[in-house]
Amino acid sequence: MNGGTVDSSSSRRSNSINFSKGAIDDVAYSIGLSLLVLVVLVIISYISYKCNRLSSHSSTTNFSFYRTHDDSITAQQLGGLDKATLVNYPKLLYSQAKPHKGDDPAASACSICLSDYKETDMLRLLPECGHIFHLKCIDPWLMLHPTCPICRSSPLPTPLAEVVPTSMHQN
Amino acid sequence: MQASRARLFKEYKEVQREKSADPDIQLVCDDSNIFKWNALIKGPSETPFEGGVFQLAFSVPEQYPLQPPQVRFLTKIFHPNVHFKTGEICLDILKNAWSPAWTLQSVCRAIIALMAHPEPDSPLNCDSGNLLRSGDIRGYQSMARMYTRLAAMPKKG
Repeated sequence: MNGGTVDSSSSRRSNSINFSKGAIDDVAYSIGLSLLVLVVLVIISYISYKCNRLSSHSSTTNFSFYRTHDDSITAQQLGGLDKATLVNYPKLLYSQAKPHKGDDPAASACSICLSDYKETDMLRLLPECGHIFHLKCIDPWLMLHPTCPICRSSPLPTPLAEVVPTSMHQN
Repeated sequence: MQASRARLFKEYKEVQREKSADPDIQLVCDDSNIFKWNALIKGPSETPFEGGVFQLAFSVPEQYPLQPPQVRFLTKIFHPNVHFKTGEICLDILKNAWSPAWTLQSVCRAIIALMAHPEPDSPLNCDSGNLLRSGDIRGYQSMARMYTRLAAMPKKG
């Protein structure tokens, strides 16, 4: 009888110890979980903030003046053309191009190096806008920026290229 | 490197040839360094900068014209898109809207256009931008005119 009560009380004590230990585990678990959620939220909001900044920088009109301080990142985001795309664009000698271009002043000198074309100069014709440049002048530019230096249209024939300028005009 | 030098030399010859073509812009290359240029531009008429002459400093990178030149005002100017202390200019064509078809001369023209058409929504000079944004055109103009008189006009007498 006596021993029985001792047993039951001791087992009750150990039960209560087990219970409080379980409660501490629960609290620690929930704190850890909420911290994890918090960290994830912070990361998500930071990424969306960065993305917003970038998109607001790239969506601007030609004649709007604005402030950029991370333009190197933006340039990379825009992305240039790769060599495989470039070699598909028509290239021709100036002597072949001259008859088509007539007396267009932009067609007698390269607007990148400002030199007059010679008959034997190898030129690149941009397929979308028809502007011509020295092959050695335009290729490094297109590898950095997929736009025509004269009219800013993209030489890429995809509809995506059309979307960028229209969204520019909305701002 | 060689390409940028050749291109700048072309621009130099063009500037020499058409010195009187644009009376509002006087572009001068450094005697010893073709990558350093200075420009004097006249403040556009019917703006608070009218009558002032503003000096610009150009620093041309070796990758020019694939990269834009760095330009800043040496003359103090009160304008939303020009940093009041450093003279840094906030202009899209000097940042990510640059195209190699621009020249130093055309950049000067763009800066004159910026002087006449400030963009207060992306200010480097917040005081100036806030005056315009709050619609206080008179306040902006009188501040800008005062600094034009103080810094961009030859002293009389």
